[in-house]
Amino acid sequence: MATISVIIPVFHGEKTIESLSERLIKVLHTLTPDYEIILINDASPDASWKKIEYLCSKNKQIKGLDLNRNSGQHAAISSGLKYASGQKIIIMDCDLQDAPEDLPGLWAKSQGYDIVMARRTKRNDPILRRFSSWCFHQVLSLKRRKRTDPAIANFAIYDRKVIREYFESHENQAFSVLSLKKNYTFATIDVIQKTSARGKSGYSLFKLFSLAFSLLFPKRKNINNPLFTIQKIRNIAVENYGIKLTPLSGEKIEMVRQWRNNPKISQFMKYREYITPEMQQKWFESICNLNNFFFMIEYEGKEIGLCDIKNIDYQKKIAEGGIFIDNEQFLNSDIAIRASLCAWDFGSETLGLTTGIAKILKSNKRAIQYNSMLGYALQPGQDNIENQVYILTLDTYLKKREYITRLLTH
Amino acid sequence: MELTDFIQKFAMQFDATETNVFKPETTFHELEEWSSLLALSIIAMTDEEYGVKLKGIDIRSSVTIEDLYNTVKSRL
Repeated sequence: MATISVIIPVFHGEKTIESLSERLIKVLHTLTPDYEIILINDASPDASWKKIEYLCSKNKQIKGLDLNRNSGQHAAISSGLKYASGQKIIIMDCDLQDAPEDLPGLWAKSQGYDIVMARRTKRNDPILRRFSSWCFHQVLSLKRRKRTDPAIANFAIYDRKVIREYFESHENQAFSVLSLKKNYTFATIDVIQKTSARGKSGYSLFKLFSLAFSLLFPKRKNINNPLFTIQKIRNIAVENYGIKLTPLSGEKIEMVRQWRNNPKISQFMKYREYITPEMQQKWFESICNLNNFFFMIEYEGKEIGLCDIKNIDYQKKIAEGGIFIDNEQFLNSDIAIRASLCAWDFGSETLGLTTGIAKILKSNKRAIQYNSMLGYALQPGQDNIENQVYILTLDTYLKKREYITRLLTH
Repeated sequence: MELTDFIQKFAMQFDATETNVFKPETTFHELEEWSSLLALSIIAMTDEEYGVKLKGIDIRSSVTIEDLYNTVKSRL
């Protein structure tokens, strides 16, 4: 888990993100060696993604997400937040308007506050941008029933608990706006805003009015059911017990479809019919939200299976878990156990989950044994049901994990 | 440590497989009952019975019960 995550939505960032990353790294090194920079390409029409891939190849602490369609800055931020592991999360723009050199000030102040926002003391924006921003803040003030400060934009640092509570909220609201609604300890620091390297804002008047409209009339779960998917992922992974779990991305779903259609795997699934590419795409779109984490299991550089934490209820701190291994060499071996531990640690430590659910076919004795080993217990009244429900509590898991890891990490 | 003794202890980890199935040349990964749980049980058994701490790769790379016996014996 990183100490600091920096989330940067990227649109028309081809010419700025390399310089931004270099300056950021220089500054972050003075704060902690344990940082990550997550660049989210919001389907930018320029070569932003190629540049992100290049930066990721040079530095493993730079991570990349490539959205398949332009979804707006706040949806891009939301995607980045899903994979941010930092105890403190920084959000900033990609166009060099937010200066990395202001981070130490934000960081120092954040030690006493849940949220610290940068307040621009001198706006260098063109008049249209200032007018559209003024309009946006009028709507925001109306919504919040108190005045908001138009000098405050995205540049801010948040405590992890704010992110967790954002995940729980299920509202179609910009992250920075939603966080202001709660009773967090909040402070600002004054910064001098630089001129955008692009020369114009990524927010057109239309986009700001759209955002203002969505604030006035929020649709529940809109962000949780986005119209975009994550097509490619670079350097984002959960690693432990010798296993690497990489979030499932669009470029891997065909491989997963072929695994899933293999009768050796499908026989143990509730849905056993043939899955077409169209069905797979539709399924993938349905899981690209904050309530589902699907991971490719990687061992010794090979992708060998899939595991998931799905249907997450952040308020009840409960989710469903699942796993399958396609590679014969690793089937029924310690590798599946390692992957399950890795996923459960991520679920409990990063997502704050305390209860796991497993739905297992009554006929799948091996899976029942497997899940019992991890501490899952059959729920009462399930004896005559085909797809049985098992529950795992965090206390039981931690006890089982201690025993299992002692055996696996000789 | 005798091979027959090892095979007996190996077989005791299984619930539903006939004991006469377990022979030195038995390819244990192909047994119907073989599972991740059994892999873990075998690691625990060799630790408790022989004081030998097997790794997951030791089990994955062994084909027959005798292969695994030889690995354990070499570390006594």
